[in-house]
Amino acid sequence: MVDILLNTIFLAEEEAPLLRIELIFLTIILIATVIAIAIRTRRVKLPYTVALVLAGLALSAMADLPLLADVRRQIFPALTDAEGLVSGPILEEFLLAMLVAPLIFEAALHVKWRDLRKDLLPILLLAAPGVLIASFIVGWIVHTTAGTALVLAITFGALISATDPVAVIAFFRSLGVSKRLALLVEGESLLNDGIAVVIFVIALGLVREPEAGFNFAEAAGIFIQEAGGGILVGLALGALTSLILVRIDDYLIETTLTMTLAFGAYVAAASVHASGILAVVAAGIYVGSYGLKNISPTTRIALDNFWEFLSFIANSIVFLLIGLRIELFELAENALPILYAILAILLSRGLVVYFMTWLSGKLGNWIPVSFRHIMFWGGLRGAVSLALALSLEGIPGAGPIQAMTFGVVLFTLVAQGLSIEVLIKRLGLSEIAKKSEAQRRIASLFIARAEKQGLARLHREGLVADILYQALSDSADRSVNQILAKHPELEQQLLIQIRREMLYTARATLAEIYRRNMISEEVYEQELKEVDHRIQAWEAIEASFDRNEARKMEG
Amino acid sequence: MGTIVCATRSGEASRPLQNRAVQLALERQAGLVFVYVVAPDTRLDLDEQLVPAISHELFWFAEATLNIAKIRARQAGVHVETTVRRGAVEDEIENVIREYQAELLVIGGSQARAGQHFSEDGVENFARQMEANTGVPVEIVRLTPEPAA
Repeated sequence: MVDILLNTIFLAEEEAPLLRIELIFLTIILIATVIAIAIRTRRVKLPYTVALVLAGLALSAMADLPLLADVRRQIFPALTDAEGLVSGPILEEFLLAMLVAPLIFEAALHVKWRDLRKDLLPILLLAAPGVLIASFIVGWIVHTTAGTALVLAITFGALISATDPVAVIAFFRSLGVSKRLALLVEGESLLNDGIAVVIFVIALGLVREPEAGFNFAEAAGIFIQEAGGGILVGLALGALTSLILVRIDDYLIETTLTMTLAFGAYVAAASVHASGILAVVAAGIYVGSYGLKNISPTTRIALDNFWEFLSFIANSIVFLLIGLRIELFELAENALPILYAILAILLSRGLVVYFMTWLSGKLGNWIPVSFRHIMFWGGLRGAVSLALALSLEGIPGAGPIQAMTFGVVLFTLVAQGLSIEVLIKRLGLSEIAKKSEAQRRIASLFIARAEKQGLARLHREGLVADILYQALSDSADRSVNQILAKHPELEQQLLIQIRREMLYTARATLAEIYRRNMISEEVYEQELKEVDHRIQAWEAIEASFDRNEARKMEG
Repeated sequence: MGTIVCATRSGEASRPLQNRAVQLALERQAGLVFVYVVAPDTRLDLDEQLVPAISHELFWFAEATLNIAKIRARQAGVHVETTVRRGAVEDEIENVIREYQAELLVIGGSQARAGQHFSEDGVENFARQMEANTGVPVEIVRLTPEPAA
């Protein structure tokens, strides 16, 4: 099978370039699908993103074998240079513009301004002064321990200090934490690139032209242009798209418009030397908060499906590429500087997170201590750091900086990524675990009821004596009552489940009487819409109940 | 026979509140009225098309919750009525107190710490406001506080 595929790729390269691109795409999707299936079927007990990085790394490790070097060149021909290595500048552009932009947009679509506003203070403290302080701490530690020139070390500090939105969001979605904790971590990762890029650009300028010196006015100008310009472009395009979205009701056009905005905001901002990432973030939050507020259920489903699919593809490629780009021999050669870099990012992240969240509490926005631990350990690095490091190619001393970046990215994705789930569970912050526990209680309730029904059937059939039935029946009743008395919250969950069942039964009944021509298509559609709205209503009602529970927990 | 009004909702927290209201009704040989005020969560980013459906379903949920409370209270030997209202919580509870000429209002306290949503201060203020507006005393049923994070 693999032989056939590779032969087809080799042939296709010579005869049909477009077919070759299609086959590259197919190969990536196949790898991603195999990993996804392995995880879904629990054959591999790893987070999806970690499994992708490790798969990429495995491919990278085998690259020295002549055949596999060829394969890698064939799989990523557009991204590889003459030596078969993934080329830095091309990969940087490909990562940021083609993969990171839609992933960030999809994440930003789910961030509602009214939620973000409530926690804007801690998010901005971490995203702006937090990244600035962390950049200098990392720079100083790397300079003193690894002997890297100070300005170059600060450049590294800038590119590595901002947490990566793609990695963070991919992880936190799968972990199932509370909405507020997810918003704090995701919000920071979405907004911290602005300041990181500014420090990076300024420090890189000093690396290239040391005689120019540091100019505060120039730095402020770059910050305004990058961060302000990016946000402005994103908001303007987001507002324009929202104006169109609220005036049309066609899921194909609406989906296309959001896709155009995701890529368009990045390109438009980059063309005026503003931050493309911040433009995409601003556009996504604006459209998600205002443009898609009153869309039809059909459009909502179409949009969710489209962006979920696109995210799956883009995420798969990003994390495979990260693994593929990391050269193990390069890591081994720079083991000591990488170790210093890892210690530096952990120390700086710890200082910044615990200080800024403490400060946020003093200023009126308190963050639970358990959240702070997750914010510290959940600060993953990924595609953005990698892309910035790749843009250093050609600069003296860039090699060790790139190796340190790859090492840190790999450490955060694998070591932190694998352990954070345990930490979340230990701290009692896993919503999935809580829901599973609640579902187990409901299951035990249903089992107790089913046991009693089974007993009653045996009694009816004369297989169980009256006295035995009475004794066992009382016992079954007692266990049901004990469960309900011990967990009174089950009553609310059961009510919700019963109501959902009732609505689904109503839906099925409607379809049945329509099929039998007892009602017209018009009546059927009207009634169906009503029932569907009621089913959807429960999502909002449950969110409201969950929010109340979360508030109690956070208190 | 006097009447006690108990403002209740669903969930874990409501059970001790309802039990206490039943106990008070038995002690005072009073009738009991459970009231559930359906007030859509204004903090939710609601899709306008779903608002009527949400309102309808919340009403169903409130009725079902109160029916369960009614069955328990009747089993305990209390004469009980239920009423579901829509609107602002304060206004609707005041209306129910006046309609039933209640002698006591029973409400639930909070698990959260001061300074947070649903704080003790909030419940105290609500109780004081009710007492001032209706002249009816308010009993707050305190729930077991959870240890701080």
